Amino acid sequence: MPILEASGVTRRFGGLTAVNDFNISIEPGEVIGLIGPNGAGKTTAFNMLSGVLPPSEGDIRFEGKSIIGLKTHKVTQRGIARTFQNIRLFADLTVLDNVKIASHFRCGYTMAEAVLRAPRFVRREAEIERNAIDLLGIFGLAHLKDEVARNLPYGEQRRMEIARALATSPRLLLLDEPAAGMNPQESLELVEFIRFVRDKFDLTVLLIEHHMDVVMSICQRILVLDYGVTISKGTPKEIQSDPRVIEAYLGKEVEDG
Amino acid sequence: MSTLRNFAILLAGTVFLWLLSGLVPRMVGPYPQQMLNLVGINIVLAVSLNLINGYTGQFSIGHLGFAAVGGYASATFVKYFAPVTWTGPLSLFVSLLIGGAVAGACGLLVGLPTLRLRGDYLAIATLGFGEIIRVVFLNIDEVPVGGRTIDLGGARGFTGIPHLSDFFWIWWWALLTCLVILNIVYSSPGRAFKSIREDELAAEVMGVNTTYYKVAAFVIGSFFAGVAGGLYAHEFVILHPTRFNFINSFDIVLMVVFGGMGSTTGAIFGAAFITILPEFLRDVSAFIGTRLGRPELDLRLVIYSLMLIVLMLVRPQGLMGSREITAWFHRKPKPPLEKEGMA
Repeated sequence: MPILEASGVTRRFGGLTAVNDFNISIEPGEVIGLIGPNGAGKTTAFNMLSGVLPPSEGDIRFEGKSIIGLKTHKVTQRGIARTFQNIRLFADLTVLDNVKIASHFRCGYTMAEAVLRAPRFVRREAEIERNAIDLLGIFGLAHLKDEVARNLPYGEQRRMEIARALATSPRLLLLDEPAAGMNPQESLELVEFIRFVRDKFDLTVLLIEHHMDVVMSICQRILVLDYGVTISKGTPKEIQSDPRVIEAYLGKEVEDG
Repeated sequence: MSTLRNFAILLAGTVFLWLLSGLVPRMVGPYPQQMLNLVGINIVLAVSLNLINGYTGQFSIGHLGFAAVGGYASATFVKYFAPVTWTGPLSLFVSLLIGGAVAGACGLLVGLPTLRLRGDYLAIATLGFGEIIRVVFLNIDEVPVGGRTIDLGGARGFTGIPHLSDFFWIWWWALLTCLVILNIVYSSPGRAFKSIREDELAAEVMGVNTTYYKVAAFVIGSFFAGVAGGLYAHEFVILHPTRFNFINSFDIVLMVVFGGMGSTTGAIFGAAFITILPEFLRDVSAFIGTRLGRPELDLRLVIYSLMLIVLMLVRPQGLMGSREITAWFHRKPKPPLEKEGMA
């Protein structure tokens, strides 16, 4: 059974159709790429898959159950996590608190228990702290746990955002341009990192990316969007030689008259 | 911190306040005593508003509207409904819970529709609520309830409230408010409040039910505002709608901003400072007036405004920023951030 299945998903903003008849079916463990020129509707598609934006039409099923009509936080609690194209950390909170917030919905005690400092509060807080530090350790960020998130260097903020997304214990991870602003060397490390994270956390990954070397080396399958329409689907090899994709990116060759 | 330690702090605080309440009347006159009580009430107001404005990042400027509702409810209960056999402290305690509950219910009622609004719009909506409450109490005179008449006083003010608040109870509630708010803030729900302040969309995507927590902050804040209103009613034995007008409501916002949004110790300092400052400025104003040869000038508001302008220029994050005073005691050297390419 596919972990995520979108069928006929369409989103209109007034007269503009940002995403038209988007279909995707992802098997558990896959790494899928979503590419396309600027304004193709990739982020809109992401927003619908993560429950941030309701589709105008169509159905999205996660692990067999529809997520249409669910509030964003409910979609996250079902097991879909995401990052943002422009990093959105809780900038004035510590790295540790950033990660802890992502596990808030599983905190396991009530506000009244927090006020009374009940035994369950004490026990669960210790567990939350331990889990958060463990997770930061995997990402090599444990030594920065008391640092305010905004003070982190750019690359570490990117890593931290992925760490925070993973603190929600997702089964599907949506990465919106994880390599944005990275040089070729850093992108290469990112590819390794994504592979590592997928194996370590048993994840399925869907990513938007402009760095073709990243997409081509990590994705098993790729979807190409242009003006909201899926113009091509297939393996990296197939995509690279698809004339429609080349046209979308580079434009059509002018016929000699 | 465990349950036991939590109650130990409350108990120790209670004993301390009890001792202090015996000492204070011997040390200072009735006027400074009333100032101290007002500081205590304002601490309840500022610390609870800080949960909404400072920690959750919403901008409410109608906090005294909830205090008015709580005050009137609490005073009505004691004057008309409390069994005659009840002792003063018992009546006060129950009436404060009722005042808080009614104010909290108003917070829920106002919060549900208005918390969709952001920033300025929410501020205007809460301001509107505060003004509506004021005008309602200004115009409601007598309410018949079950065969008897409850006199809310209208524009004359609600009079004949028994004097049940005292130094001990006011400061005990201030202590309780601080404990409850701090315990909430330093917990997982507390981190949820702060995540909304930092980035609402990201909070939602991280699984935080932002609507729930925004309304929760509003309800908890309103509850304590209602308690403060009840304490006020039973300290000053008269409630007048103008006491809860916009200008006074804004003073509470000022205390929070002055102390530092998102710092409970800051809100406490802010409450104390903004309450006492006008009294202190009376002398300063008289001094400057005499020097200028114009002793009749009242320069209090001029100096007050200048001080606030200077503070906002020098320290826009407020006295404490978002730190607590405890950060000063266990300060540790910051680990240097590793800079790439700085070999």
